[in-house]
Amino acid sequence: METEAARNAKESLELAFQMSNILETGLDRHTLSLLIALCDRGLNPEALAAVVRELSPPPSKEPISYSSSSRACLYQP
Amino acid sequence: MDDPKTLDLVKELVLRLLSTRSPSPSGDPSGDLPHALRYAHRLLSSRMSPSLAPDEPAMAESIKRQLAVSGRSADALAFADLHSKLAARSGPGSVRNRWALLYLFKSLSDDRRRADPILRAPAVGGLPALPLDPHPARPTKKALASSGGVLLVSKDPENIREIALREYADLVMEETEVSESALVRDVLYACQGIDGRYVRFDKASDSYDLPESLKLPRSTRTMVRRLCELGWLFRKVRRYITESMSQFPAEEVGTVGQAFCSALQDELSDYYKLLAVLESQSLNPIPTAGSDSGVPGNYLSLRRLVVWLAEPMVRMRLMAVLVDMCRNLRGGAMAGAIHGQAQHGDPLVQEFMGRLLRRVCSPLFEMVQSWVLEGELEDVFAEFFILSQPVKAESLWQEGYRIQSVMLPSFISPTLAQRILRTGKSINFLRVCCEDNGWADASAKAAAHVGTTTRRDGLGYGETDALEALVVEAAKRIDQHLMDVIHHRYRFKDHCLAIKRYLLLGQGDFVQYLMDIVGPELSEPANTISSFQLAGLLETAIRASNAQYDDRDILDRLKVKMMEHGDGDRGWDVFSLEYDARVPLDTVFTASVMKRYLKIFNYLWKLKRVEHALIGVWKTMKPNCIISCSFAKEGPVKMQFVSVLRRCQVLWSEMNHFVTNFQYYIMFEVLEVSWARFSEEMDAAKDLDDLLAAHDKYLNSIMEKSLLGERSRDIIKTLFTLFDLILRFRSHHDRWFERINELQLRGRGKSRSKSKEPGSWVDGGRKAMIQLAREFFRIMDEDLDTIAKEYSASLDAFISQLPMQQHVDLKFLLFRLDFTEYYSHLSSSK
Amino acid sequence: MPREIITIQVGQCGNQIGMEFWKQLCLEHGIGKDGLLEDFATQGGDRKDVFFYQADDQHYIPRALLMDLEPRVINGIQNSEYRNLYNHENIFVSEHGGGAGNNWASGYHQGEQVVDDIMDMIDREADGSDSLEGFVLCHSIAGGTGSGMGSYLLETLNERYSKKLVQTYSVFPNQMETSDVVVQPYNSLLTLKRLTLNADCVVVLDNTALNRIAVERLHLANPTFAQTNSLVSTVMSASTTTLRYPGYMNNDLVGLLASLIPTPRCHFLMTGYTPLTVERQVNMIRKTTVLDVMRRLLQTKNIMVSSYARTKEASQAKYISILNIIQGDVDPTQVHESLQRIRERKLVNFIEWGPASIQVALSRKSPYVQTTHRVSGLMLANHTSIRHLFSKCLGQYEKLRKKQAFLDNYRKFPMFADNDLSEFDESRELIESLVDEYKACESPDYIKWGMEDQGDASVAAALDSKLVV
Repeated sequence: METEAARNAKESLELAFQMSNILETGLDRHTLSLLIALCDRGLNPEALAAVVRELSPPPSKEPISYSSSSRACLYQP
Repeated sequence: MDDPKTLDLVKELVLRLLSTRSPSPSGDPSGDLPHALRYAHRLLSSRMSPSLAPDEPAMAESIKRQLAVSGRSADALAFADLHSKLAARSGPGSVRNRWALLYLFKSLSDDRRRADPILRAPAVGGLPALPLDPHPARPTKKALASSGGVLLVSKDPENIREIALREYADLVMEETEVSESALVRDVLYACQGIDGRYVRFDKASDSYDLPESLKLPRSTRTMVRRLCELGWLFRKVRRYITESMSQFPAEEVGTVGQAFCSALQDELSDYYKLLAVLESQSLNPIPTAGSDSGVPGNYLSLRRLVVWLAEPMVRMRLMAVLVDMCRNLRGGAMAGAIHGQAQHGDPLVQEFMGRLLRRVCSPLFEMVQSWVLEGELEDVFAEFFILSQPVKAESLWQEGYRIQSVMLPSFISPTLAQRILRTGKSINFLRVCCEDNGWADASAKAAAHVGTTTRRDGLGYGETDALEALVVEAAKRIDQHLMDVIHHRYRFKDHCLAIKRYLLLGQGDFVQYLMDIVGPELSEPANTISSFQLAGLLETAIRASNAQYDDRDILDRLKVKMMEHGDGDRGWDVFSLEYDARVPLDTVFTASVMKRYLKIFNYLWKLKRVEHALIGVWKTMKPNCIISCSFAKEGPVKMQFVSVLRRCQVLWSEMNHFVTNFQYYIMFEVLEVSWARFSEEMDAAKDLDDLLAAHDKYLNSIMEKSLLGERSRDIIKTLFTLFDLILRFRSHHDRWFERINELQLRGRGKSRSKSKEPGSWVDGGRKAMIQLAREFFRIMDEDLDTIAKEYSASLDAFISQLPMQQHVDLKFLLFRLDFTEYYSHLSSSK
Repeated sequence: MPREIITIQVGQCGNQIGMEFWKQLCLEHGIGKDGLLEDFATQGGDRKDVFFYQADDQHYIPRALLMDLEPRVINGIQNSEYRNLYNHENIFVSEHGGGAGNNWASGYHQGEQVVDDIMDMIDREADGSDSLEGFVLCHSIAGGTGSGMGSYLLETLNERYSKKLVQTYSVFPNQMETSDVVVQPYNSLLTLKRLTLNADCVVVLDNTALNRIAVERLHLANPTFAQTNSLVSTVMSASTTTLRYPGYMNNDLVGLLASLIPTPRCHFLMTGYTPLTVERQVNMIRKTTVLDVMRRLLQTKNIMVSSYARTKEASQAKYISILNIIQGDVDPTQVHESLQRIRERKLVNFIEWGPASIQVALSRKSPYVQTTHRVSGLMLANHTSIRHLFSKCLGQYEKLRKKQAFLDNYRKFPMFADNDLSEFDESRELIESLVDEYKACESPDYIKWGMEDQGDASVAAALDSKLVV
């Protein structure tokens, strides 16, 4: 069972990674797996995307067009 | 969020992200970790729930579409394939929250891609999630893009980095000193209903304020306060929306309320957009005097904020006002209240209100349309200004529907509302009472004529003219159709005529015959009369008169009615005819209308009875009876007889004059004249209300003119006294003539037998008989005197009461009664 | 169950006007010459059963009895196109067929002889009715059969059907011309007595006036009997319209007559008609209003009774009652206005001893008879000026009687046998008192009339002597 789950997880991760690549998210497998785990735990994908965006290096190629929505409410005391 | 496992995962994620980044200006990435972690936590905790409703297929579809649109259809196919594979997996190890993952991908992808701004906006792939959670403390935002590009603030990546760093710096900065940019940010927070570092909402004063301890110039403080009004207003509007939404779908809110909330929400999203832009601008450092940070213009100071927020302030104020006003209103009332605020000279306000009202009113206009064209009341929440009540078919028209004036928005005039009410009512009447389907054609034609189809959302606020045109057209056609149905299928006029013929005694031969055969029966005590037998007599009267040629359908509706009777009532007091109008005509001939007909019938019937009685009197003393009467020829009592007889005849003549002229009056001035008018108005009636009004007028005019009105109570008493006197005269008269015949027979018998029977009997008998006759005529003379006196007293009273009656046509009656001015001479000679 | 009316037509004149009357009724009800309903006559709203009954084969048959003492006129009817209309059992022609020779006494006597046959016919017809209202007698008062036999019939009917109405349409002779019937004053007087005593209502049709109308109004140089008879049939049919077209009022004969005849002896009615045409030949085309009709009806030139009075006396004449029957397309709202005009212009003098008014009956017009006039009107009036007609009769009688002329013809019959001419005297007395009563009606004190001149005692004494034979 353990191996079954592990294999399943691995294959799923692989599928997700390919999708991620198609969409040019710039995520590596490790980061992706962390994000999947966090999504599964119910975190808001919007917020996660913000975290990734804020903390990861800007892509070298093109400037990001600014998404105002993601910054609309940054601050929660 | 708070469980250690998640925290670990977040920490690992942050580390991972920091590690992949190129060497930062601050050197060691691990040094940034605590700040970055805090920042990440703040980010994560700021959004507990996504702004989109989780809808995986929609999200996947959106991504695919986006790929396809950007010319990467192969990738789109590959993505679809991968997605379906991923979706096929289940059990431990599979991705559970696939929607979240897709969303995450999409967000990141959108960020990375320099996307066409137009493509981005609709690319969210799902409906905005409405905050359904019970604690919607945070305003939710949609994934927004700049609209129209005007407010788009483009930023180079460099800038972003700077912003991020400055944010960290701000975070660690000691709260000793208040910079303007911090205030700007706080104001922006406040404008979103969030407490900032300094600007906080004070429940006690119900406003945003800065702590007194803060050292600030007075003008700055005022400005902040002024700006924060927006936040206060925002809170109010937002609270209203959340409160309303939380009640939904409970019926208090209703569709208009929902539309209102949704419109408000859209306004708020525009507002959010602006705030987002402003917020991003606020990240640009405010140039201080002498500094040249190289960021010109695009910064945000408090003063600039005042300018930026001036317009939103106006809108928000309006919204707040509306929210206040609509708090306890629903449906049409709400629309009306909002409409009341739209009358404003400021084009900005007008435009805003127009937009809002179009949204708010659309449910109402839909209702109007479906009501007017289909007769449907789709009003689950009782918001429409037309209210239906469950009633019996016969009162559907009168009571089935009514206008609820509180729900009538002021932009629909009461006349139009009445027309709307009637049109739908007509449809329902046709459907329910007439079992007619032809109205559908009529309404389709009306819709086609006006140019809209019966499709929904054809019309909206501001198009009241078009609405009116539609309503007028629909009303015209449907009413026309209804009139056709009433007149042709249900033969309204025929029934009115039938009622006139039978209940108003227009069919003289029938009435006369009925009187002949029912009369003897009706003299019996009321409780001994069988209405079954009377029904049989009614049928006989029909068959004996020209009524027999009438439509069987009409005759079947004619019935005998025995009214409630008390002790001592005779048949005359309780006998009546009634006419069963049946659905749908019972809408016109309602129970109360029939009650009035009944009253008129009883009255006319009484009049006929009196006439009948008088004719009976004439018959017993008609010329060839009375002239050949032995007392009239010769004999000792001739003079006495002739005298008393002439008095009797003259009194009869006076009574007859009264009764016939009263009847002529009733026929010409009351029944025929009223009918002629009714008939005219009936033909001119455009809708059922007209028809009802015409009929009501007809009935009223008959009642009033025939002294049955409320105001004729006194005179009608006198009239009935006269009638009773005439009936008394009749019964006296019957007795007198019975006696006269008896005396006459005895006289004759005597003269015949006188030769045979000898002795005292003959002589004594003759004398005795003459004596008897004398005595009898004396008594008759006295009786006659009493009746004549009472009669002339009552008649005097009647004639003197006549000119005081309300209805002018009653002067015609006086004119007829006193045609030769006999009574005026009589009273002047007194 | 209608209020049936049985028509009895006696003598030459009676049968002639009767025939015209039935022709007119047939036209108005859409009944063909053979008694069958015409195809178009489906929706008249009329009552046919007052004057007709339906035989088993759907034929409409007049409730009419045709009687004469000589066969000429009745044969004419039986050979006419209407021969199948009448019930042949209802036709009585005297067996010897010699007529009455213009002798009232002969007619009366022959009537007495055949009374059983005649009464059988009448009884049969009466039994065939559900609720018989009464009889209408058509006759002339000047000849022998209509007057004499008619008189006998009136007496018999009065006795046998005392509860039923008896109305007559009585043609009074033309008194302007010298008649070929020299004894017409005798005949008239004797008939007048029966009309006074035994009829409930007499519609007086004065041949003098009918001729005058024919000459003056219809511009006929020498009016024929047929033409004047057509005037009579028009009046007869018009006076029965309210019975044949039921409405709110005036649906029976008794109601109609009761209001017209408030005192029993004054039951002689005169008639007026407008517009006047002969054989529906139109000579008057104009729009007619109710007022026009009512005003014309009050004009003497349209009234079918001559008034011989001097102007002074005529101005004293008063209407006891008036009933205008207006036929056709009439707006009921006009009635009041018309009455108002008539009163304003004082066009009518009514009696002063009681209230009175012009009664108006609106009646439908037959849809089957095309006329160019929209509205037509008939007036039935009880007017005191009728007494002048009776006075004239009396005057002519007196002239003849003074000469004792032609009395032999009467003495041949039982009533006048043994030179007993008291019948003449009685009749004269009665008619004189009738004239007096009409005259009294012109005074406001009519109620007291006849009460003051004779003391009770003297009368009682006089009668005592008479009773105790």
